[in-house]
Amino acid sequence: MTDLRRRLLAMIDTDRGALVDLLSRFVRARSPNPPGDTRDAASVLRDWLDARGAPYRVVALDASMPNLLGSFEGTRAGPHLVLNGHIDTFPAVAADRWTGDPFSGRIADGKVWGTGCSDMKQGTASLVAVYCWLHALRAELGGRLTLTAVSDEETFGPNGARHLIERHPGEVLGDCLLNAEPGAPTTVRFAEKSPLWIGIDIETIGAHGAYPHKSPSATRIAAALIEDLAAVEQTDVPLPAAVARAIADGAREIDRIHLAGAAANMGRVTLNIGTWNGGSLVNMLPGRCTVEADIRLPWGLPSSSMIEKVGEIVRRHPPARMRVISSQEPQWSDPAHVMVDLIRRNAREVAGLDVRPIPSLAGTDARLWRQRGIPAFTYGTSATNVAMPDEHTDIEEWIGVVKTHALSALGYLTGDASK
Amino acid sequence: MTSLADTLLAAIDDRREDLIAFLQGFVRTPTANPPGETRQGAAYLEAFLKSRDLTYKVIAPMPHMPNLLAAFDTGRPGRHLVLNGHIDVFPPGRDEMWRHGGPWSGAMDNGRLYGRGTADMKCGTIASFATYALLHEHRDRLAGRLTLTAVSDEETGGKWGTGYLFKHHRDEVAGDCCLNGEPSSAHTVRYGEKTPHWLIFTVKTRGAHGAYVHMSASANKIATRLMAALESLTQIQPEMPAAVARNLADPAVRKALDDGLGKGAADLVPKVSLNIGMIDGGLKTNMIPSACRLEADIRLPVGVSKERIREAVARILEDFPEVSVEEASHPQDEANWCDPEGAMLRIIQDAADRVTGLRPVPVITLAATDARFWRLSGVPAYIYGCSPDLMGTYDESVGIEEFLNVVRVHALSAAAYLAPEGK
Repeated sequence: MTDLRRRLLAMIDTDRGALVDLLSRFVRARSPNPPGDTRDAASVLRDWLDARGAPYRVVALDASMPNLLGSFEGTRAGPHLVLNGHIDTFPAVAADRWTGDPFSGRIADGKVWGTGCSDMKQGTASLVAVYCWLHALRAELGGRLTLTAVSDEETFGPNGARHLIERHPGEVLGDCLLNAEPGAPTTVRFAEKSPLWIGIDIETIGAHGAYPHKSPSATRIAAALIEDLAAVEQTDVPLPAAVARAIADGAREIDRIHLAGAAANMGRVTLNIGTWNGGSLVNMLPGRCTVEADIRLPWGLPSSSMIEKVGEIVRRHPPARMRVISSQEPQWSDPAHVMVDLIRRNAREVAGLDVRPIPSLAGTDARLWRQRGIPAFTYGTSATNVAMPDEHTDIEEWIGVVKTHALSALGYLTGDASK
Repeated sequence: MTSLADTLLAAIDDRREDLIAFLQGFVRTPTANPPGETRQGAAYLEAFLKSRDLTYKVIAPMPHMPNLLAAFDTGRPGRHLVLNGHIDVFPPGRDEMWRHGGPWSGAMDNGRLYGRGTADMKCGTIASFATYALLHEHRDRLAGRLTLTAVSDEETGGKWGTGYLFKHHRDEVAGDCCLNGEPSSAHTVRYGEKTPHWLIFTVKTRGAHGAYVHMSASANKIATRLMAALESLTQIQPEMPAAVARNLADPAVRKALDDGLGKGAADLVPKVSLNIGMIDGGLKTNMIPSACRLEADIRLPVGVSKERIREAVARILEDFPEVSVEEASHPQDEANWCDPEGAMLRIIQDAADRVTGLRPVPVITLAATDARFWRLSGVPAYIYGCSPDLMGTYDESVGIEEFLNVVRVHALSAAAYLAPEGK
């Protein structure tokens, strides 16, 4: 182990108590989205940055949803690494089923408890701390390190990472992104399936419910259409070889983390009929029905081909009409990228973990970098009770992740990258 | 001596303007249900009875929903006919949508009288009152007993109206036959009706994030399978009484149903129909729905009991452990009918033929009325009234001559039914 790595690990050990306190305070500074007011939570991070003299500025499209953007250069040429985490959280769920206050930030049983602790205040706190430690070591580094701690991730809103990338791309894109969303510390995520959201509207003339011969039923048309839509899950997917191999190699771990069946779903199209609403009274023949489908596309399948396929199915059920609510292309970063290698080596060294690169089922802000062609990787703690009562983070596991983040960023900025 | 029928028709002609004014005043008295406040409407009818020294009683288990009950006995043995109408009407909707001065205008235009409830069923209820008063004047030429019932809770199920009268005053209101003036059109007499059987199905699953489709079954997907499985209910064959089967096979009846209710109606009358009126599943596009609610409106024909449907649904649900069901309609109601070849039916046909020149055919209908309380008690109940075409619309109205014809047919039919033996 190099002297620099030892110095960095010593700083982390020294700061350990303060770091756990940072996470606890960060959780107490509630930031549920919606409504998405992240000012209090952002100021907890600002206090930490200010106390350590790390440079940053506030970039806010909406004043109640500030983003923190910090950056510094090393003392020689090198690649530009960007750290990304979000400040906002899911709304507190089922307050009556929590052991304590949903925003307590309580430290007990070796864990920190509270809404958003796992998703993803642990990760954002880690990256802010990493940014400060490496700032202290900047004389030894090459390239550039940028910190983005953003608002407005939970609702895919316009005020967070999207705003930074649209308005300040030269500052925040960099050469590589490290994101710290939770998942499992045994996996590094190099790709995400891509959500394609489709709305389907059906309008018929309608009638009194006792006279079903007078009009086609919008709900009945919808039911037949939904049955037919299941065919999209059978679409042949030309998975890129590297992605297919990563899924095959990681299958057991994927099923362990996300329950049996997850690995099989990873490489195929999945369909979820998220909402289905029709009619206004039981005894009226419904003249209106709306369906919203969440289709998840794997890699190698352009959204345009799926939109066309869905369109064909919808057209078989007149008068149903389709609208695309949102679509994006499924992206992946190279699972053999040097950042993956750094994370695997460092996690083995500091936590004894065997880390596999796998794709992810759910979405994170990392997709925004991949869409711009920047390799992006997600590494974080276990997702524990995310969007459920008693969300928490295991401190021991977290410290291992923090160290892995720190050493991997250090490695990337000191030329370990070339190995 | 002039026949009683001629006397009654002459009296109706004499009092033509009074009768129109009687209906108009009733239409101008708002009685929307919901909310169901009908005291003003009842008071209006009471004033009519009082002015003729006709005794009655008010039965009001709900103070704001009074029912009126009147009866006279001729002193001669004979049959007991019951006239039934309701005071409450559908809600008016938006006032500005009415093209004839609002829902309670009672405006007359081009031979029609406009307003909410004109067709359903203030025309029919006024016909009952006029018939009752006329026959009372001529009670010395009748046998048996005539009862008049005007109820306040028809639109919302009848619990405080006819249902209450049957529960607490059954001996007074059941009688031997019921004549009701709900809309039927001059082309048909209604002798039976299908019954609505409303089922609310709830599908419950664990739910999950929409990207993790392996972690939970989808309540919406289960609901689509359930909808497909429920279609089998429409294949259930009724055990049709012979008289009803004969009636439904009659080409004149089939034509009347298709003409009156839209093409296909004749085929629908003997079938179980299924309408999924409401569906509500899921909260968000990217969540696997953990709940889906499906409301089914099943209409049972004569010859299919609710119990049979309950058993069939229970069998279907054996394949759907995630689904629970509850009934939202009145569990004791059943599809109902009385004799389509009965004495009163022929009396009504003869009277209508004489008054309008049309001989109405007996039909089973798709909508529910209070006549079911009589039929389900084994008492025949027939419906003859104005056209149903505009009921519930912003142009709801009744033709003035059409209204007078309903009065005439009711008066003649009631008089014939209560005619002394040998006349």
